[in-house]
This record gives sequence, C-alpha cells and structure tokens, in this order.
Amino acid sequence: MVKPNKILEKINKAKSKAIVEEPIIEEESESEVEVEVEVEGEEEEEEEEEELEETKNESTNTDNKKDQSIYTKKRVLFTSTRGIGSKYRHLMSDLISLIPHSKKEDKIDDRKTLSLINETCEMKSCNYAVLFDVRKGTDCFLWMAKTPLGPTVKFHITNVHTLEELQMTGNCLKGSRPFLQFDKSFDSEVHLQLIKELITQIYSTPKGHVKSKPFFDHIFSFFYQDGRIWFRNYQITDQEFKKESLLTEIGPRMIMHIDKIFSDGFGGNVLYSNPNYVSPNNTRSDHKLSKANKYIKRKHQKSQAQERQKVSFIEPNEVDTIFDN
Amino acid sequence: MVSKGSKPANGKKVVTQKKSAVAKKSPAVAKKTISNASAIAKKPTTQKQPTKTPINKKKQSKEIGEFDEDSLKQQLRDMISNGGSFDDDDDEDFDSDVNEQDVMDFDDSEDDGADDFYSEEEEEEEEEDVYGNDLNEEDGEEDDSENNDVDDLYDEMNSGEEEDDEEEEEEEIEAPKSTKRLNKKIEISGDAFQGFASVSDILKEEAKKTKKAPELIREINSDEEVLDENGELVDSENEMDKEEKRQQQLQQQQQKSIRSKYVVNDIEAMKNKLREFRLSGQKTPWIHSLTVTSSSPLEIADIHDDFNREIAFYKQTLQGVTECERLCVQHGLTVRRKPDFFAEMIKSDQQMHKIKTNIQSEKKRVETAEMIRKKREIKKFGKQVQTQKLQERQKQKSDAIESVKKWRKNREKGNVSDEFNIDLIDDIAAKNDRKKVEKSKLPVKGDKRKKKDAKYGFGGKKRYAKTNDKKSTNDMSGFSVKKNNEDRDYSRGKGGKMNKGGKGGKAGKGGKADAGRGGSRAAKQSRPGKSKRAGGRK
Repeated sequence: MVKPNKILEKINKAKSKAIVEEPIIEEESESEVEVEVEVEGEEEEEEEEEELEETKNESTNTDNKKDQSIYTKKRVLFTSTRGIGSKYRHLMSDLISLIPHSKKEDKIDDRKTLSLINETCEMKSCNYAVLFDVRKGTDCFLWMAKTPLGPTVKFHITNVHTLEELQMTGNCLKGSRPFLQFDKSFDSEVHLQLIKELITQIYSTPKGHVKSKPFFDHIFSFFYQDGRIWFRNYQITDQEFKKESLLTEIGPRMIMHIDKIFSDGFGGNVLYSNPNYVSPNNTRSDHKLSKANKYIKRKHQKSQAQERQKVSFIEPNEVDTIFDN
Repeated sequence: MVSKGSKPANGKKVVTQKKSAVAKKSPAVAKKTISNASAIAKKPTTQKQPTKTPINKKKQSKEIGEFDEDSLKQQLRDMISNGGSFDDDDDEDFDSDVNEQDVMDFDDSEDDGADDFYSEEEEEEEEEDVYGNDLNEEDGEEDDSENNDVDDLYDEMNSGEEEDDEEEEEEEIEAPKSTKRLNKKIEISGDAFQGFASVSDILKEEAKKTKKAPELIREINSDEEVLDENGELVDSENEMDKEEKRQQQLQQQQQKSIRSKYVVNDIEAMKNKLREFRLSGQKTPWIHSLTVTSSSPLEIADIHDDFNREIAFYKQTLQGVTECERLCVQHGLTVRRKPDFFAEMIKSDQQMHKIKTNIQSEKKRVETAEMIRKKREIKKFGKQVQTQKLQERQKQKSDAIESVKKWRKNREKGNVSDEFNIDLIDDIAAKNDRKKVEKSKLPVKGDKRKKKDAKYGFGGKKRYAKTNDKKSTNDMSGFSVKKNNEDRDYSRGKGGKMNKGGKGGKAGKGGKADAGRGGSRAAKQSRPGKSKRAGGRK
C-alpha cells in the first residue's frame, strides 16, 4: 500500500536531493573556470562536463518517474458483499474489465466491519476501493473510497444496464484508456467537486499503465441531473466524410444517487449526507402505504368532492335569467 | 417548539378513544390536534379576517334569502373583483401556517405517512372533542369554512401535480401535505357537523370565537410570534413577493428540519479533504487523468424523456470528445489506433455477433410487420377491387354485345350508315353470325315437333346411344342413398348398429342399378329431383 504521506516524504526527499546537487554543480563549474585559466587538459574537462550533463539528465528523469509514480502506481480494489445478484455481479465485472488498473477481491462476508477493506487494500497494494454492497438482493449501494485515509462516497445505484445487454452496440479495446467527461454542474458544489475528484482518480487510467493501450476509443461521461449522477460509456469512432466523430454507447449504464460522504476509508465522520436521498426501504414502504387504505381515501375524496360542488355553485346572474319568463 | 406539557393530555385522549392505535403514533396525532387548534386560532389574528367574514355572512344569508338583490349583486361583484388575489392570499396564508406547523414538529417526519391514513379516525375523534369539550374549535372552523374550501381546491390541484413527481421526492413533500389535509379535513368535519345553520347562530358563535381564540394561541407562543410577522407582511404593499420569499425560506427550513438529524454538509471539512487527497496536492496532469469538464451545465427540461435526455448526453459527450482529442494532439498522444492493431475487446466476438443478429432480427421483424400490415390493407380493399373489376368486365362484354346487335339490326334494315369502325371490330363476329342468319331463314319448327325432339331426340347416330361406357359407369352423380332405399320396408324396425353395414352394401348395388337405368339419358346430365320432375310434367 502506498500512503500519500510517505509519497510526499519521498518527493520532498527527492527535491531536497536535487537542491543539494545543484550547488555542487555550481562549485564544480567554478572550478571549471579555474581550470580554464590553466590551458592544459582541456579535453578532460570537456569530458567531465559531458558526464555532469548526463548525471543531470538522469536525475531529472528519475524525478519525473517518481512524480509519475504517484499517478501510475494506483490500483482499485473491487469487492462485493455476499448476496450480490447476477445483475450487479455483471456490472462489477464490466467495470473491472473497463478499468485496467483494477483488482478483484473475494466477497465480503461481514457487512458490519467494512473498515476491514482498508486492510485488504493494504495487503493487495491497492489505494482505492470500490464496493458493491447489495442488500436484500435488490438494493445496490456502491461505495467508492480512497483507502485508508478517505474520503468514501456511498451511492445508491439504480437503473443498471450491463454490457451483456444487446441494445448497446459499441465496443472498445480492453485496456484502452478512457476519456473522462464531467458536466459543469459538478463544479458547483463542494461535495460534487469531491466526488468528481474521487471518480477521476478511480476511473482514469494513468499513462503508461502496464495493462493499458496507447489509444483512445471510449469516453466515460458523468452527468449531474435530477440530483443524481448519470453514468454513460461511449465508443468513439471516426465518421466517414465528417469531422465529428461518431459515438455509440458501449455500456454499462447506471444512475448513482449520492447518499453520504465519509471522511475516512469506509468509516469516519459524515462529511455530507444528501437531504434528498430516500432509502429504497422507505420508498418501498411508502409505495405500499400509498396502496393501502383505498376505502378511506375514496371516502375522503368523495367528501371533498361534495364540498367542492357546494362551493363552486354560483347563483345564476340576474342578467342570465332575463329572458327565461 | 411545541409546549410539551399539553401534548400528553391530548395524546392520552386520543389513545383512549381509539384503542387500536399504535402507541408510537399517538404523540404525532396529538401534535396534529394541537396544530389544528393553532391553525384555527391563527385565523382571527390575521388582518384579512374582518374583510372575509362579511362576505361569509352575506353568502350564508343569501341562502336564507334575507338580503335584497342589490346586496347580492354587490357580493358577487366583490367576490369576482377579489377573485384571483383573494384566493392566492388565502393559499399562501394557509401554506405558511402549515409550514409553521411543520417547523414546530421536528420528529414528525417519519410518522407523517402514517398520519395520512389515520386522519379519518382523527377526524371522528376531533368531532367528539368538539361535541364534548370546547366549542371554540368548532367556531373557528365555521368561520374559515369558505376559505378552506377554496384552499381545498387549490391544494387538490397542488397535490395532483406533486403526485406526478418522483416517489423519492414525494416523501419530503408529503410531510407538509399530510398536515394540510388533516387540517382541512377536520375543519370540514366541523362544517359537516354544523351544516349551514341559521345566520344568527353562526354570528353568535363567531362572536364567541373571537373572544376565546386567544387562549388557544397562548398555548403555542412561538407560533404566535411567527404569525404576527406574517400578519404584518400581509399588510405591506408588495405582500405577494415578500410572502413568496418567506415561503421559500420556510420551505427550506422545513426541509432541513425534516431531516435535521441526518443532514450534514460540512463544507470546510470537505474542502480540506479535497485538498488532502488530491494527488500531490494539486490537480493531476491531463495526460494521466484525461478528464474534461463541459463548458456549460447540461439543462434537460424533462429528465424522464428518454430520447431527449440521451440526445443531450450524446451532444455533450461529443463536445467532450472533440476537446479531448484537441488536448491529445497538444500533448502528443496518438488518438486512433492503427488499423493493423488488433487486441482483445471489451465485448467478445460472440457477444458482438449476438448484437448484430439481434439488430438484424429486429429489422426483419419490423419489415415483416410492415408487410403484414400492408397485406391486411390490401385484403381489406381487395374484395372491393375484385368486384369492381368483374363488374367492369361484365359491362364491357354487354356493351360489346349491344353494339353488335345494334349494328346488325341496322344492317338488316338496310342502313349502310353504320360506322366503319364497328364494322371492323365485329368482322369476325359477323362471319360467325352469318350461319345463324342462314338458320333463321330456315322454316321454323312447330311446338309439337320441338317437344318430340326433346323427348326422343333427333338427328345423329341412334345406335349405341344407350350403352354404358367408362364415363357413365363411373358417374355416381345420379345416385342417392335415400332414393335407393325408398323401396325398402322399415316396418320391421331398426336393426340397430348391425344393420347399418348391410345397408351400405346394398347401396353399392343400388348405385350400379341406378347408373344402368340412368344410362338412357345422356350420362352427362344428372337427373333432376323428383319434385322438379313432377313440376315439369304439370
């Protein structure tokens, strides 16, 4: 597992090294000046210079590599709880196949100790985790987390369409890096910014990842509509005789409803909880309740209708009845 | 906010009255009753009250018929002129009241759904209360009856709209709704209880009410304050705008209060977290993230309109793609794969084949459906077309024959003025006719001769005419089982099943005999039925 703190330390060290190296070079250059005064052994000096340049280049290269390792060395752990249905299992496998820097883990038996995922991440050297928590075989909750320091976002997933479905005709390379596209509304609020950052970190495949391919033929797009996040995956193909490229949907599709944001990996304080979120249990019970008590409702409606009729009765105007007699 | 001292008393009452009620719900119910009371109590304090009451009075008096026509007209005029604004004010007043109530009861959110369904029972209870204890509530209801009715209408419309919304959103909206309904209901029940009694009674009760109402308000002090503010607001000139704003505020408050336990939006902490967990404390370079944000937020009128929604999504992603490709070029990344680069795809070939066949089958299905539809249409009109054609042909034929006859007649008469073209057309027909014409010149047969000819035949070869040949033996058309068995004697009774086989056998023989008999008549013609033959003789 790579702790960000450690990484930061490493970077600082590397930077400090670079800083330390520079003055030495300067000193030597000063010595060069000294040497220049002496006419002899110019060639040697030149050689020395070349060597120095090479070392410089090397050092910058290593710096770059270390910098990039933050981005490149990332892995996402995919797990699910027990009792995940076929639909969500397919969804999970789809996402795994679409995200080359992912690792699949065994199902989790105990839903109460989700914080154990942090440890499994450490064991599997993953720094992100995605959990499919399916309850009652119907309600799927998607947890996305940066482990172990957080944050964690819990979504409720609805309207899932997997790759298996036949109406989505697109296709793309396995392991090609996706473009990510976000709606502007993600920048409007802080929690959405947080979610956006987390999603980009989890979904974007770093450049030069071992399993990745150096072409771009699909795009993940995220929209924030109706208080939910809509996920789409399109294939990009060139269109004949046209500048614009053609998009065909690959799938999967899903709608993510934000439930909560936690400060740590699978735990910690609640940073945000969605006021508009209604748990599927509640919606179900509401639905049942709305169906219940038909008789009472009907009676109520009848009484109301009577009242309305009473009120809405307008006495005929005098003018209207002029010609009646 | 609600004074909790008063709660249990009411609550107990309710519980005792409906024994079946779950203990959980009783506090909520109690709250409702209080809130109703308060709602009623609030009315007198609002400044609109005096303006409305006369109208009420007038209306009621109208029914009784005490007032003159002039006053009636004026009332109507007033009502009409007040019309829109009058109603709106009412609604807002009412809504705000409701909102205040909701602000009051915090823990209600979960019970509200249930309350909806207990309202009926509560109604009854409320009535009982009215009978028993305080007349105040009744009075208040009486006064507000009209307003409430209007409100009912408004709320009805509102609720209809709201129900169309998503279920998930409904829950939150429903909380206030249920309380609204409850209020109205109970007030209506008051009406129902009293009916439209005489004006004097009502006036008396009104007078009573104005005195007693303040007591009720005192129970809920916090509410009183809010109401007073409301009252001032109503007074001010741009009352509408302000009230709307206020309503919005209240709604927001209410929304928060409903889920006050759960709603957390710790912006500072989130900002910190965001700063903390961003890779290396800043945005990741584009080469690694490949992330693009749209220039303008997507606006979709109706999210449930699948087609338009998907189109909007598509368009925005297309913009994103062009942007991404531009950036790719900037960063020196190859976008498209080479045509000779083959690698594993997300969807297997099998899957893609399935998709293809699915598309094709769908196309076929559509085509066949169209074909069938067309065929059906053709079938519908086909019969008409056929009959039309037949008629046309018949007409043509008859026309032709007619013309020929005409022409011939003309010729017989010696008119040579017939048209040339007819002559040409009927050249062949004329040739055929020539023989007939010659025949017509022959001496005509007498009737007797004709009959004899019919009976015995005439001309041609007489010999072997009656002998059987292959055709005549195979011809069974003249045979009928019934006739064949005519001569059988059934007087002995039916032999049951056993006899049937025998009959069949004999029938075969009979057939032969019959064919033999019928041989005299040319085998081509079938012998007509007996009745017809008898008729012919006559």
